[in-house]
Amino acid sequence: MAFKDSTAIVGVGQTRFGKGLAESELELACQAIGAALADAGIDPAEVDALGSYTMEETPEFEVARNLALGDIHFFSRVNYGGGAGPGAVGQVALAIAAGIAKVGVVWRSRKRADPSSRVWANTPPVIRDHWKWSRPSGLLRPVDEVALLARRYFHDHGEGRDALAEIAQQQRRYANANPAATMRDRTMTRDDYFAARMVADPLCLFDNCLETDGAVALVLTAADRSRDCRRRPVLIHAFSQGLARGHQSMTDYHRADPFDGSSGVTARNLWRQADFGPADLSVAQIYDAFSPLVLFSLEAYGICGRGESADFVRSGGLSPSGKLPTNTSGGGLSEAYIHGMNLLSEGVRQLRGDGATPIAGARTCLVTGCDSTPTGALLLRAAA
Amino acid sequence: MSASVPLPATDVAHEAPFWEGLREGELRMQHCSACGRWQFPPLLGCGGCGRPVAWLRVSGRGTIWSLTEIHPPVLPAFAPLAPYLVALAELDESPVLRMVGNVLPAQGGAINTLRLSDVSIGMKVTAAIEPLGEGVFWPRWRLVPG
Repeated sequence: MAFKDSTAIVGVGQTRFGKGLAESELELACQAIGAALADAGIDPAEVDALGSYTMEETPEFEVARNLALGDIHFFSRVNYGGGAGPGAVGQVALAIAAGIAKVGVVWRSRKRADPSSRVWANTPPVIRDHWKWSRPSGLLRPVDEVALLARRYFHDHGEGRDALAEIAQQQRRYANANPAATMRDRTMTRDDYFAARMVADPLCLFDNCLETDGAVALVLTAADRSRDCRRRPVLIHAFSQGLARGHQSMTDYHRADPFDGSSGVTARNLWRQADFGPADLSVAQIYDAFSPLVLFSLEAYGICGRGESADFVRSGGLSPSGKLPTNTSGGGLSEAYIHGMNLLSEGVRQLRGDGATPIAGARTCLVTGCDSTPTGALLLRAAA
Repeated sequence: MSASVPLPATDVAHEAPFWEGLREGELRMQHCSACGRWQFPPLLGCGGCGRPVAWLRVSGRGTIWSLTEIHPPVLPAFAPLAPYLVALAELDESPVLRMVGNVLPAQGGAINTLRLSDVSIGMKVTAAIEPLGEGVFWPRWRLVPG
């Protein structure tokens, strides 16, 4: 079975993004999936595969019966929060490529704008999982864990807060051009960035993603079927998940080289499959719950050499006219934080030519999951 | 949301020598005599070759590999202490023995005594084994003068 280019994403849909939305997570999920099916021009009764995150709280059967989907032949969930998105898409694509299912939907719906919903705020009094090795010392939140790696990275390769500022500002500029972005009307200057409150030094408020209510969905089908759909199909060229030997999720600093981890494992297997290389990418959507993950991922996926990503960012590499326009909807930092699903939908839009900031002639896109967890990534390609 | 410091579960069989050691004022780590690998956190066997591991006492001496200063919002138990420092110390025995802990002045003190400007990567530290809660101990990293 050849996987390469055998499946396609043929529809994207989303709700509005914001804080305190009235709808339930199930209603938001159904709105996004309904919009994605309408975008694809596919009848809900044709859907027979579902994929999502283990953290998703809307069950498959509720989604299926509320949307009048057909009989379902495949459903899967992928673990590890922000590391899950590309895996959720890739696993449904595999089911379609293998002939087990014909039309797949992948979705993520969440209401995270309420601070009480944050996972770290619900740390139990006695910790049984791997967070027992760090949280009792007050390393409490994902941002704290990423801050340790960011400071070490700056120690090894030079102070880089100005590069993080450029990531935050560039993504804000993309969001300012995106009517769907929660930050569409709020600009960010360099002074704004450096005046923001510290959260986990060297990371300030603007190095953190937004907490957002909303949902995003994608529709997948076989490449030969996709030519009859309403929109120009976007082919899934390559897919891998990655869990590095000895990896510990989010707190992955017990291995000899914490900067060559699950992203590197994913990247090497992705490029092994691909007909093109990092230099041939038109755009990228890089998981950005925290801005340093963009620096680390640029290197792990071979877009920059080791220690070179801060300079890549400083030289405008992520901008519309840069070497690799990245997170072109504003991403998790400035559009919405839908656990990376909005990076997947933006990757599709760029290759169809209907992104809010369209990158002219975009043919290929990398979409990554979280650099700090077991993760995954996809290479997308515009259909010929 | 818990009002007290969250504690590590210490009743896991393959971790018992680690927690017992801390109660006795010693830092013990797993070592594989077959492949020479040290490891932390504890595993069921050697993460490198799969063979059984032995527990050996380590010096508790190390260097700061990285650190951060934590600002609110934090869990209620840490709120009165913020901002405070958390470091990752690399033990002298092996570069892969890295442990999270707070950073203290040479003479000891509270976890928010030092500020970020007082500590940098590469500084020498030594383990000060202190109680986290009833019967549960953990090292904090005390700066070594000079």
